[in-house]
Amino acid sequence: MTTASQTQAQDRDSAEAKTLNPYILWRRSFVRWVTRRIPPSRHILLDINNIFIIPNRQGLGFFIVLTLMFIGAINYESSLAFALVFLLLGMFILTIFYTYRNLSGLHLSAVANNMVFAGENAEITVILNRYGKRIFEAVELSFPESRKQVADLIEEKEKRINLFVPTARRGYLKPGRLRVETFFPFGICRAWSLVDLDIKCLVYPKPIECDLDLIHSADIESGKINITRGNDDFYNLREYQLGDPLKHVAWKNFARGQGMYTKQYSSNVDDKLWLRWSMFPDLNDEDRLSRLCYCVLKLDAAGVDYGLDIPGCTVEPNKGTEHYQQILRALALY
Amino acid sequence: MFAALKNKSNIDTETAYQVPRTSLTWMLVALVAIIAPHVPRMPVWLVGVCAVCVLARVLIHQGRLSYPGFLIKAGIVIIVMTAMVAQFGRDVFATESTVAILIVAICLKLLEMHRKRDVLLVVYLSYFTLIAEFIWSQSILIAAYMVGCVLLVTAALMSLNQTEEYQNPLRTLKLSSAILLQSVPLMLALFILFPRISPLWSVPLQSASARTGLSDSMSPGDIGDLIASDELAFRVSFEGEQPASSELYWRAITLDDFDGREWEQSFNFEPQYLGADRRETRDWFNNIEYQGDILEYNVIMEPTDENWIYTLKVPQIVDDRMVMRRDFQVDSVRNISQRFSYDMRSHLNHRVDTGVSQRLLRRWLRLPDNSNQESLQFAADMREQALSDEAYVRNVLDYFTQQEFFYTLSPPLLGENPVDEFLFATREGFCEHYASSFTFLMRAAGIPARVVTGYQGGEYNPYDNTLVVRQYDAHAWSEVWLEGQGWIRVDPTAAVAPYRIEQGSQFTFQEDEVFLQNAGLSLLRFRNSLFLNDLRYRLEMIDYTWNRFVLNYDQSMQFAFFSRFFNEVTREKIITSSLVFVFLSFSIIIFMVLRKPSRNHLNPATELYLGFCEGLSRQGLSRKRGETPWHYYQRLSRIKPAWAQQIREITEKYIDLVYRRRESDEDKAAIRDLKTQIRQFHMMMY
Repeated sequence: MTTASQTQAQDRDSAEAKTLNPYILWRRSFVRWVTRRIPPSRHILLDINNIFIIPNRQGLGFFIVLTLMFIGAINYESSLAFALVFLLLGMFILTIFYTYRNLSGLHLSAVANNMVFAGENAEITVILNRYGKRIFEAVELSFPESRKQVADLIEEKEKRINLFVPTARRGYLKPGRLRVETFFPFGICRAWSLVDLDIKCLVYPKPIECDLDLIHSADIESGKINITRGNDDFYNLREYQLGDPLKHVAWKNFARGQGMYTKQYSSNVDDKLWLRWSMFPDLNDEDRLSRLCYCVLKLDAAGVDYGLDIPGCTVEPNKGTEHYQQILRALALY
Repeated sequence: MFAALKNKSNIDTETAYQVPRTSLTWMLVALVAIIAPHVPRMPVWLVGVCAVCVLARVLIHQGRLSYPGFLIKAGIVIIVMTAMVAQFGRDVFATESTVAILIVAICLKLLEMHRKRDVLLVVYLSYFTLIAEFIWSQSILIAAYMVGCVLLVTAALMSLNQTEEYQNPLRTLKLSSAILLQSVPLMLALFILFPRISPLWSVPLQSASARTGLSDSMSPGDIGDLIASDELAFRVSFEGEQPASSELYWRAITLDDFDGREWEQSFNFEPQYLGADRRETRDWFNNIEYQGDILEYNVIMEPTDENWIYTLKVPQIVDDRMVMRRDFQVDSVRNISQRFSYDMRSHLNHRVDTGVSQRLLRRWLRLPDNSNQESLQFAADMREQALSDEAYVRNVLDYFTQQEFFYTLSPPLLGENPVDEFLFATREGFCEHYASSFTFLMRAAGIPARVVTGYQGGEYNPYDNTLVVRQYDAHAWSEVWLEGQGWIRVDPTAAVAPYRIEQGSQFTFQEDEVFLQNAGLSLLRFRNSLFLNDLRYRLEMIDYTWNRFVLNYDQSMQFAFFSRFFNEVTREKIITSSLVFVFLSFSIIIFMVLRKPSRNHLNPATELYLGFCEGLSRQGLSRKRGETPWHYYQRLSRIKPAWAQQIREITEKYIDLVYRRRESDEDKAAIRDLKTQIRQFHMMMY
């Protein structure tokens, strides 16, 4: 079976390779080369090793105009026209260096904002830093699937630019290489770099609305509900977590120097809800995860304790931001 | 389908493009500055169209006007084009009208600048329009003005590439001028080095008829008209001593055919030409007898749109851009539509055509049959009384001196038989009257003679030792052929008004109201003021230097320039030294541009340490955000145990330097130590 799928993939690859035009092939090998040349790093300093520069289409236009002017200078034998053409040619050549300079020395890093559900845009903050006197003007930043943002680093030493990358699936999202690009000062040259800032963004499943009553019915079905029904007797001690009510803290133990513990009562167990895989028997994995995600959001908003029990991962009931994120993480990475 | 999609996306993404206000301002200012010098050459209505376009663009930007629709645009274009054709007729493809079309096209483009591409087109065309001005004027003032225009267009281009929040006009201007200034060395090098190519095709200029200057025919009053103009005709710089003013008869055109009123160049025979290479050496040229020294000089003449150039007789051409005719008139191979510089050699003392055949001379004897009968009779009588041809020439000149002839700028108009009327009735005339009647009298007596027009004298500028010849120095004289002497120059004007030849026309006519009447408020009007006259000489000197060394820079000047640096100049040496110059100057500039940004806010130890981290990050071992040097070391020592020892030492030294107080001397030593160690580590790493 594996061999079959492999050959299939190979077939597809070779078919693609045959039909694709040379430009795309060239691009692909360029991307491979870039990956080798600029290894992923959390913090990247743009310099001669990772900046590419080439005159762009506007540059070609400028050059054509220069050629026309040159022909004019020859035809009218005008010394000053020659001088002007040579001056603009000098400017053209210098622009290559100026455009390069507008990226060189720029420090880049990025952080990903993790609260994103599939289908939303992941927010990635690119941090631009400059040291020394050099300023950076009209630097364009974009991920392959994000919109372009333009940044200036003139008066400030640091700038944060938020880029929004659309997400389709849960799990870790790699936004791809960040394209840092500039056309400053004259738009006739393009200096750019494709940097991998080694960021990944955790995307939670897309929440899909479902009936919250299912939570209870699932518990009843599995028979665990009986245990949770009981009196207000002391049940257990567990490590104190932020957000636990202070009146439940085991102060005696704390006074003995045993650390901070929270007393758990069996009546509390009553509120603890379990989100289980079995809640949605007729759905496929993704749909189940989406609904579980919805339940998590609702339960967190309600402020009750809840646990997660899905294949490969069990999280004891609890509440609070950390718990909430832990569960969402478990759902995202299922 | 695809096209439709593409169109749609254009509308979605690009019509939204609004030219930033600052960029638009830059552009419009630049455009107005570029168009301004062209205005006098453009029809008034066209200037109006341009002004309306600029104004409309401003209104569109303010949202008070919307972009014109397709029909309106098409209508405007058709109307403007029709009007252009109506205005210029067949000359619509001449340079003047082409430039006018270009300008109006840019202005119309302003009305449909929806996309960034359109804006760029306007900017690029503005650059192109800049050089159009140089077709007409290349004076220092225009050059300086154009530098300003280049700066404006460049600033507009830069501002298009800046974000809107950071549009600071002063900064844009500063950076633009910095980049342009840094381009100057390359410009100079290319200007000096680049070989000048001859034009690829000929370009007609429209204003040909508007030029002031000599024409290829001469009738009474023609040259007198030039007296009203102070326009520059040409400038000369002599190698060595400058000849006396009375020797300076600048020949331009020889006129052979007379129709009773007008002298013209003869087209009845094939003129013989002699090129500079003298591949077909002519007998008549070999038979010239030279006496005395050769005079070498350089002439820079203003454009005439004609072929002739100015020489002193008898010239020897050294330049393959020109040929010499049988009558020693020198013609340029191409029309002189641009300022033209040439080197020339002349023998002022000479005897030419002493042994020429009578058959050839006959063409300089022809006279019209039925005109100026009185003068014909007069000549016959005079010749009978004279013993020889020479005596006859002298007698005729004496006749001009002894009878009451007047030299005047405003002679009475002459009728059907101008020679008769001038000789026996009016007796008031300008040089062409004298030259014309004198030549007539010579031919009537059987002496070969011709009229030569050109310029006489000139003004000497003491500051640069040049001779400035203006239109008011225009002159006409005669050449007669005498047995044993060949062609000699006879100037009847000199007999009537010797001061004209000795002191020049500006002294002769300065009281005359016709003189300089077309010259406007020229500094020449104030030549009696010592200060202003001195100022004028100095300005002329600057202008001459500019013309000679900048505008007429050519290969010979290229060699002259390099001969200052090398004993023997070869093309290879020029190319090599220029390339070295370009390379060096550019290296310096690029070094300045790309100089590593200084981390002057950091202490030296931190700077060194950051350099060390950069080296490691190139190996893919960059320091994580928030990782302390010590943690970094610990992580690295796990990944690269081989380097652990060295990294540890460096890290310890760094921490020691940064966090422990020391005496400054000790500090310096420690920093030097750290520096060497980091360098050694980097060497080891690669």
